[in-house]
Amino acid sequence: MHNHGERQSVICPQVRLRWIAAVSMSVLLSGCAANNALQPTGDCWGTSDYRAVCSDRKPAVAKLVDGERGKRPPRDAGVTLLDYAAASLACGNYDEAQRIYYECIMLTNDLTLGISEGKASLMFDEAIKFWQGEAYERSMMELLHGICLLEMGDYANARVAFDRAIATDVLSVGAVAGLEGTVSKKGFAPNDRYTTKGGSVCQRDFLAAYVLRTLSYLFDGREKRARGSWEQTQAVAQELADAARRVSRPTASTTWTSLDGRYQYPTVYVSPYRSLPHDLQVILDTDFEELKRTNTLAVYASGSRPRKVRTGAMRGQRVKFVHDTYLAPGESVHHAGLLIDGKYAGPMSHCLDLYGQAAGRGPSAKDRAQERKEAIENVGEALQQHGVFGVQYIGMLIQAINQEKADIRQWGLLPNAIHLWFGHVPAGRHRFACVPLGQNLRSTEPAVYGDGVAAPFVQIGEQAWLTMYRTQLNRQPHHPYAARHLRHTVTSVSERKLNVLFFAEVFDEHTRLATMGTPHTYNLLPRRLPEGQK
Amino acid sequence: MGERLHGQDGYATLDASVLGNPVKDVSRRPVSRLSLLGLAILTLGVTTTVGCKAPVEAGEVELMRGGIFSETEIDRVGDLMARDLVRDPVFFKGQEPPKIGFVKVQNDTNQYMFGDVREAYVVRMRTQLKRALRDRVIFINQDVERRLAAQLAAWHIGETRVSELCDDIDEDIEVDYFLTAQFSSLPKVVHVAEGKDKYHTLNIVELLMTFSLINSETAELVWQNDLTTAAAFSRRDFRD
Repeated sequence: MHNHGERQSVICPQVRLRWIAAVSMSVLLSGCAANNALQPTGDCWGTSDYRAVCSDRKPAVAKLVDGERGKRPPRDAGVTLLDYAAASLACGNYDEAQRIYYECIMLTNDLTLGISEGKASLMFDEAIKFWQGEAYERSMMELLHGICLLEMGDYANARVAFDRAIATDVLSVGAVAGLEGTVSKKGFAPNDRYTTKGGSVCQRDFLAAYVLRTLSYLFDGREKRARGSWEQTQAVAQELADAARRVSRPTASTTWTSLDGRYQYPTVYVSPYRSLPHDLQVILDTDFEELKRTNTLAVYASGSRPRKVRTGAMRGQRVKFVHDTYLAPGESVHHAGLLIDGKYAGPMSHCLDLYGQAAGRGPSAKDRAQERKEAIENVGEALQQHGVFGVQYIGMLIQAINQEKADIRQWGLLPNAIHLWFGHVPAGRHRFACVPLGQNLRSTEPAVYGDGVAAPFVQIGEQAWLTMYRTQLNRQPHHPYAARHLRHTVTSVSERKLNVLFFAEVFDEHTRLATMGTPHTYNLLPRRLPEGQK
Repeated sequence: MGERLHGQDGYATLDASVLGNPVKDVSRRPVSRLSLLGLAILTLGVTTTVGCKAPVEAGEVELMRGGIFSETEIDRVGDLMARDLVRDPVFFKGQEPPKIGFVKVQNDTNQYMFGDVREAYVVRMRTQLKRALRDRVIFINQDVERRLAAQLAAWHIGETRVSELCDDIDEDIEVDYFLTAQFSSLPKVVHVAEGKDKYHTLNIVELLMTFSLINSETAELVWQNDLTTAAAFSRRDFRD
């Protein structure tokens, strides 16, 4: 009895305290630890019917946008809204897509705010698992919003959207580079107080935003700025082309040396399937006077976003995560061309690839927050092993507060790549068709497999193309190279405005089954030191 | 009594703190306890409005919170600009009141500025000016104003010559002055004192709002004023 009494006096208060701590923390955090908030929700990738996605998500979106104003939205609101917006855009409903993208932009906090506010808000949202998206998701949100505005003829705000996409993209690597140092004309200067001083290193592979910003300026009547923007665009394209040429292995990164004094961070990461920079040549070859004749822009959004996956030892909730996977040519379009009225109009420039965004930059601010949480978790666990009861209690509190479970929720319908074609098309009704080129046709037509343009199709035209596709599909109904790749529309072209055509790649069930179970993951690239510090 | 403005020769005198009062006979109105009370309430109101923005001291820079195109900010800017413009001689030198068209609001920042915000500036300034000047100003019909704005779409402040304003306007549009607004932003680094010989740096963005009144015939700039607002640093607010 005595022993039992002793045990009661020693153990029970501890158990009680643990219980109290757990309950009080769970009340305080009011569901922050809810597991369902951390699950990837609404992954509608693999769809072949964007209209079905729109119908499916519409009630939830209406409730979020119109029905519950003033209330703090659910933690997954961003994912729901963005999937709906992406599906609306794929259906050609630009007005609706613009409205929802703008709601999402307002929903996400401004990560570009200063050190105190930006980071504080990031950490807070990370703690309560309010979905805020990775930097590349935010950039794409702005970019797709801008495409909607372009189509609607609001060129001034479209320019804002593309500038913001570029700025957010800068941030995504700035989260690292800003912490490490600053590059200026005088060279690299390490930061000692975690203070960004401007001019930080930026990843310049968001070429699509530069191109579209130029067109926005042009159609807003701001020729001077358009000219400057186009010069900048061509400089970025040249950097990308140089980087692509330097890559010897498909998964190798490239150092960045084309600008003197630039911090050698792997700012460009060329995808394994991005064979040659020939598609960028269109941008490099187009001078400003020729660009001014542009009245048509075709955008082809292909592939699926880099997937966030859990990696590392699955010990309890402690996981690291990287976000990188890539669809092979058989699973997605990597090179595309445009047919206008059955005639080949040229390749579409592969202007943006999120693969590089996710893999080539090192950890984002959110990744770093996640790493920090793991470290905090370790501290909490160590404190719990301490002999002193009060210290144990503190350790317990730390573990209860610190939600270190990896957040792998993501925007399901986010495309991986953006291909652009721009040029002059005579006024009138035309049929536009996006067709896959190059490696996408490896097994269907060996004759056109190669690095560049599918030359035979220039002659045989769209109908022959389609016939061949159908034949292939009939022979192999589950063949991954299905006719889904061929996207077309018939529309009236005007000389007086920028005619915008948006095509979203459609995925079929076969692709979904073939790839979802076997994600390829790559570790983030090793950190590189600035020149002189190696 | 607050801020009483004595007009120059030949111009009506305005009580700038009470914009809504009619122009005529204002200078002769006796200073009553009621007006003093009104002024006190107005001052309190303005103070409260500014206080709502919860300014943050950053050295000598007062930082605003919230969006740079928030309702409070639009009202504040619209009011201040109208107060300044209402004193301009252009409204009092001729027999006929000038006809004004608000033709351009140019956004060079990285913040979205949709039609309702753009319209809000225009409406606020137009309302305040009309209230203060009554029959001393005529604002052209809004349909005509839209037509005019469309004609001047290719004209951009700071990029196109001001003289080009007058070139392509239809003759049937009668307008004496164009009113324009330009919003641009500038990143800055300020030092915030932490104690003796100690400070830390803070990145801010300064929003510069410039309003101009331009003679539609001579392209002469007859009035211009600007206002700055400092906000916490945001990379979205300036171009790459």
